[in-house]
Amino acid sequence: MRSWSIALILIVISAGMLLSNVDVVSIFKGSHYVTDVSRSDNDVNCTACHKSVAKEMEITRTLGGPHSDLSCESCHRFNNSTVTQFAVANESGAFPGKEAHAAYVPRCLDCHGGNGVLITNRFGQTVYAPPARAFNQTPIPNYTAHKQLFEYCKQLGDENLACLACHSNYSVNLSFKYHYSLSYVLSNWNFTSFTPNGIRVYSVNVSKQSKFSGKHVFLPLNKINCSKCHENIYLGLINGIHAPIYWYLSWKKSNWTAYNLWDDRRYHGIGIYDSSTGDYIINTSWINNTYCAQCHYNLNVNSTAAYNGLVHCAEKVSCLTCHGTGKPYDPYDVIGTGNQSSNKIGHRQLLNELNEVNNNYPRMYHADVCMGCHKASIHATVSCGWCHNKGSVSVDVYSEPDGRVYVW
Amino acid sequence: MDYGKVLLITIITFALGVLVLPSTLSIFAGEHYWYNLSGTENDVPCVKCHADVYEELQLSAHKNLKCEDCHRANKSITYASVSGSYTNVTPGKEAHAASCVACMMCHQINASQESKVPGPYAGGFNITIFGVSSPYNYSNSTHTGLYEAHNALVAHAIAKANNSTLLLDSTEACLACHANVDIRMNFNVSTGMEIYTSHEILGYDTTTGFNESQIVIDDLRITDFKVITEVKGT
Repeated sequence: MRSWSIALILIVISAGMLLSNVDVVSIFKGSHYVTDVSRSDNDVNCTACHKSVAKEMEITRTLGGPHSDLSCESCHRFNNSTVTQFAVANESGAFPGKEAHAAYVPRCLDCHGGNGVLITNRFGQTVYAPPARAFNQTPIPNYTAHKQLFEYCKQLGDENLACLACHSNYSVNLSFKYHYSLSYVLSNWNFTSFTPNGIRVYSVNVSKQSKFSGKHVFLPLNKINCSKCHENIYLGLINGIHAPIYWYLSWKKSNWTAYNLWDDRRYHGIGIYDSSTGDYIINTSWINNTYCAQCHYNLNVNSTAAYNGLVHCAEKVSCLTCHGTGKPYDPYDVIGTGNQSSNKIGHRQLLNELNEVNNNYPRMYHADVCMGCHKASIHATVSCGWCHNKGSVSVDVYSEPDGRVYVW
Repeated sequence: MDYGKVLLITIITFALGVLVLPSTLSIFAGEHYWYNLSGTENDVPCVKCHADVYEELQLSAHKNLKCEDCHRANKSITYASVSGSYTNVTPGKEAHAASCVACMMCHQINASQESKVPGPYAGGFNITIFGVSSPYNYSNSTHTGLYEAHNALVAHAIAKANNSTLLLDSTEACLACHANVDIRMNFNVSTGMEIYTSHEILGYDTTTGFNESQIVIDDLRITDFKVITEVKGT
């Protein structure tokens, strides 16, 4: 009986297979099932092959990042001067693509160049993509931070890399090479010696996690942390060099009208007194993008590129940007007349000499010169009068993140 | 079950067999039932063997096309045909019944090699930038295709198709997007970069008003590649 049952089951299965099977198995299943592309929208599902990109865009939407409202077509089928016509089939007929058929890899500046553009988002709304100043200019002005990164990537053939470094989850490893220290000698507020020494190499590893390449995770602006890539500067700030002049004094220069973050007119940060060392240390919680923007995206000083709407994230600055002659924080008379009449104009004179056309004291050393004295003022190993009376001192100042200063 | 019942079933089965079998057992049933090929169109029913293809076509944007519109439509091929009567027979040259077909034969510029139902031009591709050639015209001065994101896929499909068992020309690439085929793709993507910088001194810049220096990029490398597998379909 059992063998009959098994035979019967086998017969039924075989019959079922015969009924369901086709005569000849196709070489490439589905190859004749061609998608209907005659509707007005894009009928080819990009995410069928690019699921990982779709997942990254979902992360962008979760973060509330830029481009959250965009579809694949918003960027990759964006008609502009680069691609004037993609392949389209709709009720009116079939129109072949010109510079591209299905999609193209856009330059970020296709939307964020010029004066910006209007694009259609995934809700069918027209939205404005603002320009990324001053990358929208040719040539890019020298005051634009990250100019060299952008131009190098452009030369490589993918300028988007420069944008993605900050604005996406694309990982970045950096190796900065710059001077190890600077030695200078002042005599009556004039340089008698000015010597950069050695080479410092500082490496930063900004590893980010991503589902795919990370290029489609667009970070909200408040998630872009300057200090991640510029860790040496961050540590330099903590170690008392780069910019923070935090020695607490109650006296303020009366004609410095603009206020900083801490409602203080004289200092870049108010130090916290450390009784164990007798030093003033900066509150590290203040060192964030807002802190960086105080100098590198300054909307209060009318000569800055930021004030004039010429940069979108940061500009290169010098101490002279705010402290130059005639600027809001002109140091004229900042230490009073002292015992020599030259002290009244001493700072101004020094800064002017620092930027004299024929002098080779480039911008990258300006802060070191200023910090050399101002950091030294905390632990002065020479008498106050050497600086305040004579404007004469010898200084060794070590670049970021070191922060050491020696004066004699 | 006793032997009597088994015997009865065997007899019934044998009787039915006798009824349905022809008088003489043919080696290959139907082999002498020749199709009449003297009609004006293709008289051989492709669907007999390619029922699965037929079923797909019924769901397809090409559902109004006949088999021969693609597979007997290459102008450079002489297919076997009978015109009106068997006294007017054209033997096949490059192909007898049907030829494999590349999508671009119908969808190239002017579809000049397609004899039956030329399709719309699939403009916007460029394969020459990858050093690949094809019998079909992908681009011209108006339809340059220089910025198409899938040019590499198309060009490599062509390159791989030569001297292989793959479909003709770029057909796999076309099907990847335009047909309901299953695909497994391995994307080897970079997830990061390394940047090496130093400083250079530029001199006085009248635009910025500073003795300028700048960070320069000495080297930039794309790094941290990883393979991501994407699967389209079931």
